[in-house]
Formats: sequence, C-alpha cells, structure tokens
Amino acid sequence: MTDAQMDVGASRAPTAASQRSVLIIEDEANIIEALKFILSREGWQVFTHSNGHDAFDAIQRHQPDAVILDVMLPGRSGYDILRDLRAEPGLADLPVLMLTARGQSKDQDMAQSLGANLFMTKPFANAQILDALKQLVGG
Amino acid sequence: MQKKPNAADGPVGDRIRVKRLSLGIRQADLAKAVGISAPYLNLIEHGRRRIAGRLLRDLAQALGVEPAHLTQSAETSVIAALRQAAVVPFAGAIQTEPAEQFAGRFPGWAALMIQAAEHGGALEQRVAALSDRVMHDPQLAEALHDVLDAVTAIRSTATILAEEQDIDPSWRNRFTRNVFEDATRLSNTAQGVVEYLRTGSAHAGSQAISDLDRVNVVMRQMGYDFQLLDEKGPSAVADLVNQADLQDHPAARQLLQAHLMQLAQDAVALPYQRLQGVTADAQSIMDFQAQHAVPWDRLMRRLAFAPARADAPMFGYVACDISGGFMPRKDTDLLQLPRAGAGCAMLPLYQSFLQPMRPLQMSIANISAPMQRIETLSFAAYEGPVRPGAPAQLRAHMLYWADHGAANADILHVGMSCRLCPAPDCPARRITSPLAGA
Repeated sequence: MTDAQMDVGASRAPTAASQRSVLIIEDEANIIEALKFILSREGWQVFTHSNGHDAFDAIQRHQPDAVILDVMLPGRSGYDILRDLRAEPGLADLPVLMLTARGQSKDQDMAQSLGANLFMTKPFANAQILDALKQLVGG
Repeated sequence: MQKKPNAADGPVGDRIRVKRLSLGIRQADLAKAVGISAPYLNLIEHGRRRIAGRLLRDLAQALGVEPAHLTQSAETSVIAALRQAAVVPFAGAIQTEPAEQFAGRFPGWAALMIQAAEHGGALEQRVAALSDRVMHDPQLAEALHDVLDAVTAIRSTATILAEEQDIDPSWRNRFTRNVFEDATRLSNTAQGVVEYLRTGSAHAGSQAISDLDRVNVVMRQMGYDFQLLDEKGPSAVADLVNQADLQDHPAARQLLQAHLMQLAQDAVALPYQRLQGVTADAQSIMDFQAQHAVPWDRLMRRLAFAPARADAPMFGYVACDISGGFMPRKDTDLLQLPRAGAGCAMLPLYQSFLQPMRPLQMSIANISAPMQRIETLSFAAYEGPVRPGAPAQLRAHMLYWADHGAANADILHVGMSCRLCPAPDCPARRITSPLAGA
C-alpha cells in the first residue's frame, strides 16, 4: 500500500520544494492513518508501506528523507530490512526510526547495532514521533 | 462591535446544540422562541458569540434545563478523563479547549474514548504483570503485541481527536471509527488473553521456561493434590512422577522426584491429623511449632501441600537458597512471583536470611493489589553442618496466606520483580522499570 500526500486540511508547515518526506513501514492500518495525519499536518510528505516483503523496494522507490520502520512486520522483520538498508551504498545513511511493541533492552540493542538512528517503543505519543523526525532530519 | 470568538464559549454553544438536537428542536424554532435570529443562534452554538444573562436564561428555559446546565462544566470529569486519555508523561498536557469542545460535541465518542483508554491502561498493567511470562511465551507475546498495537493506535488517534481543532468532519468520523475498531479489537484480544491464561495450563508443559518452571507447572496441573503421599508415603512418589508429563525432561523429573520425596517424608513425620488445630493465623502456627518442635520448613510445606480439604486454609509456599534461586513452590493467586530470575528484594523470604533460625512474621501486600493484606511467616535455616571457613548454606522458606484485615498505607508492598514494579521510590530497586512512577 502506498499513498501520496493526504488531504488533512491546512498544513501547519509551509509546503515548499524542500518538503521533507517520510516513509512509514508499519502493518497496523490505524496506526498508519494516525501517523499519516499528524505528519501531513506538520508538512511532511508521507508514504506508507504495510509489509516487510518488498519494503526495501518501497524505500528505493520513494527515496524518503526518513523511514519509520516497525520491527514486527509480515514477511520480513524490520531488523532484516534495516540490515539491507545499511548494506546498500545509496541508502546506508538514511535516517531510520525503529518502532517496536516490545521494550526489552535487547531489542534496542539490536536496533542500535544494526544502525537504527532512533528507537521508540509502543505506545508512543504523537509528539514523540514528530520530535524524533525533527531530530533525524531537522526542520 | 463583534466580539471575538471565545474558546470558553464553545462548550456552552455545544451544550445548547446538543440539548436542542436531543429534543429534536430546529434551530429556527429555538431562535424564534427566545427572540433571536436563527443565524445568531447558529453563531452562539458554534462558540462565535458570547452568551449570558437573560438570553442564556431564556434559552435554558426553552430547552427545559437550568442555566447552570449550559454554563457549568458539568463534564469536568469527562474532560479530565479525556485529557488523561490523550496524555502520555513526556508529551505534556493537551490544551483544555479542544478537549472540552470534543466532549461537548461528541459526548458518546468521548465516553467511548475514555473507556477505551482506561481499558488500554488496564491492559498495559496486565501486559507488565505478564511480561515475565511473555518473554518466554511466543503465543502470549503475539497477543500482547496486538494489545500494544491497539493501544498505540487508540492513544495516537485519541490525541488527534482531542488536540486538533479543525479536523474535517470526514476525518473526525474516520478517526472515531478507528477508535471504535481498536477498542473492539482490544476487548476481543483481552478476552482471548484471559481465556488463554485460564486454559493455558493445559499446554503449559510445552511453554515452561525452565526445569523448575516445568515442575511448578506440573504440580499446579495436579492441583497440588498429593493425597497419595499421605496414604502410601515415599512409595507413592514414583507413581506421581510417572503421571507427570515430563518424559522428555529428565532434569525436571529428577527435581519433581526430589521434591515429592521431601513431601512424602514430611507426611510421615507430620501426619495431617496433627495439624487439624492449626489455623491461618501466625500466632496459631508459631504456637504449634513451639509446642511440637517441628522444623519450620517441614511445617510450612505440610501446611501448604497437605491434602486439600474444603475447610483447610489456602497457603502458598516458596523457598529459595542463599543465592535467591527459587525451589519448587506452591503458587496461589495472592502473590506474583517471577517464573524465572530474581524476585522482589522486599520479600520477607529474603529478609529472613538476615535473621537465620528465627521466624519472621510480616504483613505485606502486592503493589498491584494493595488492598489485599497478605500474612507471611518466613524462616531461614542452615542446610547441613556449618564448618568454619566454609560458606554457609542456607535456605529460606516462606508461608503466606490471605489476611482479611484491611491493608493500610504502612504495609510493606512487594512487586513481582524490579522490571515490572511501578514503585517509584523503592530502596531495593536494582533496575529501572518502564512502570516506575506510572
């Protein structure tokens, strides 16, 4: 599933040629919808993808400025996708925010060792996501 | 001069509109009844005109309510709960006005969202309480992963609904529908988890996380019914071990065998008939022990594992060596103990190591059920001879049971383990907990 910018009413941020884009790779439709809404309202161009099978292809296709990547995905885990990402020369530096429903330290350790820039456990606050993305790509 | 819209007027207008709609009165008819134009009433209902005095009284009269009904923050608790539903500790509080507006305009959805958030909160607590098991149980982990996903979606969506003022109605409807869907999913998953936990013992053998856990699971499956040991003594041990589904776990078999042999010896040394006068009372137990000079550990095991009788009090029993490692035990619903790893350092069980050979009587309460008072008797005893220069081997034993007296604020609260304990200022904390201070 891939969506272009959604109509969520007036964006709070100016939409300019420099508009930042983010790809959400998450299999929970309602989480995707909420994230899309808040990010679009803040001026982000939001793409979404809901499975692990071809998530890597989606990243290559959209070339986003940042990726929000769930760990538990159908098909392939977020860890596997992150590992591929970091091995791909053109995408090795792409900022990645990992999401997981598990809060064990080993998950965080795993994410960090594979090169995740930030790690967040569910349930999170919308403001946390926005802050994290700003931290990753500025703006 | 037109007055600027005042956010504080919003809820008043909302209440007028909600009340009018609930009575099936058209805007034009209500406006006519109070002598104003329909467009002006429309502005009032949308918070764009301040309202007070006579007009407020007239509108209240026309709607059949007291003026205070329209002006008072009658939904204070709803708003507070709604705000709570959208708040997470590090995100800060949401603005008051949108929450009031939302509660006033969509009371049904607000109630649903509050309910969903409370439900989510309760489930989060349950997730924490079960986390020890989750870490080793993929089936349960998947269910609880689903719970967290649903909670995440509800929290995120609830925040949007409560914070965002200018959402397109179609989006608002979409999000409220999503909250409803996720709340329903939460409910279904919660029921599934409860059912799984209720019946899970039938499969628990394959889910046990250690040999000790296997033994505890097997004994629980057997209902701690070791009547055979009282009837036949040690010769019944082999039969009981063979009944246990531990063929593929020789170490667990051996552990069960050793434990049952201990229970059999206890039964021979302290026939149940002698325990008839002992009640679930610390003084009664201590008096019996003093009178009969029965070893404390034997007395505790006998009381806990004695043949089940309808009139017998329900005792729980747990023991550990000086490293804190647990031995086979008898669990009850009163006390949550980890299936693996160290327990709460506040447990009287551990405290008894500080005073070996002296019974320790303490009242405690679970931090997750602070009103349930639990009485405990603990005793730490040396195992084998104590040789100079050699490390002393001690084992601690704890018997516990429900005390029907009310727990007070001064009672010692214990958790399951540090990781899962919400106590904010526990002096015994070893590791931080995501629940601490929650």
